[in-house]
Amino acid sequence: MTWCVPSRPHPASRRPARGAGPAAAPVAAVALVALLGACGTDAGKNDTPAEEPPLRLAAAWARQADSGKISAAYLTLENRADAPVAIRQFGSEAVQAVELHENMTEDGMTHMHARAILEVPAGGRVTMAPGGLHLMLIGTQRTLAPGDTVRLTLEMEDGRSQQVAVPVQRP
Amino acid sequence: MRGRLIAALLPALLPPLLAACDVAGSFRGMAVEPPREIPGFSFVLPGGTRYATAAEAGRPMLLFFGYTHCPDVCPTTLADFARVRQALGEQASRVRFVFVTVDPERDTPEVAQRYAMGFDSTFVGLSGDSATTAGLQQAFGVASVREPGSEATGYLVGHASQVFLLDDRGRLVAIHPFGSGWDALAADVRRLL
Repeated sequence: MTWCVPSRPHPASRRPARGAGPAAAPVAAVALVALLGACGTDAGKNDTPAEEPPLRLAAAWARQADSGKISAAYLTLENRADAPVAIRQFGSEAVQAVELHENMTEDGMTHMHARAILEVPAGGRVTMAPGGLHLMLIGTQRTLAPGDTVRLTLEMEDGRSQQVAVPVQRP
Repeated sequence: MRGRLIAALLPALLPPLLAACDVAGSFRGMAVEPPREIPGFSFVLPGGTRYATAAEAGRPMLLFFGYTHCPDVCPTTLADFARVRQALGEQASRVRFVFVTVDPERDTPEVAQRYAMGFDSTFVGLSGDSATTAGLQQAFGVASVREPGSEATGYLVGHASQVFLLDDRGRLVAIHPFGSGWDALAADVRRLL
């Protein structure tokens, strides 16, 4: 089954492409941090510099859907810190509810199970993909069309939160 | 007695065996050997007309069981169907792409049809009564089961996630487990065209 296979390298992998200048990685990292920071509702409100987000969004997409329907989002999250990061809740302005689910297939029958916590290990990554771990987007508040963006809020167990922007794609 | 039984059975057994030899080992999905006869079922479409899953000469069929509240496996599979259709080009019109809901309580014929057509306007989305749904699943040797969900999701449905490929004589010839890849599916459909 494809979802058991280690994921292919992601377009936004840590290493810059061969031939890219030595400045590419730091520039990309700064740009990403700035982008992620800009998503936060509190950005710019404090005088102190914003804390670096706990997780890095290495890849993400959400499936297109009509208004009032079901969709799904798939994130690849990296944790470059020394301690694991546990996400206890996901939310979004674009849908009524977000739930973390995992599909299990046994003897050709697929069952979906809700998962309460998503832990991203220290120095590791979690990859969501069709057929496995995914975010179920329940009750879309508007049509999600290719090119749109869904903003997701990740609430950590330690009280921190982070916002990420997920592009909508045609599957 | 035994000799007579074998003699009586041989004419029935030979054609499927020979047919199996014809294509055996060349499907990229799991070949069904010998191919299994699947009885046809009749579904009511929105507007009251009927759609029969029975064989149509010259037209192989891809069939998938799912439900429209399914966020992951079902849309992934139907998106694969759309890729297969695109890859087949002009031959695509000869292939029947069929989605059958295992949740007829929430998926009315209108909902099932609209859902399937959201992936490609030629796709067929079917919702039958519980007896028809169970009968068709039984014919393929699969089942579905209602499972508890949250307040937000309502109940969930565990269901078969394979894609079934039938030839134009209504025989199941190959099964593609979820994740087999649309290109493998397209290759197997081409064998039947």
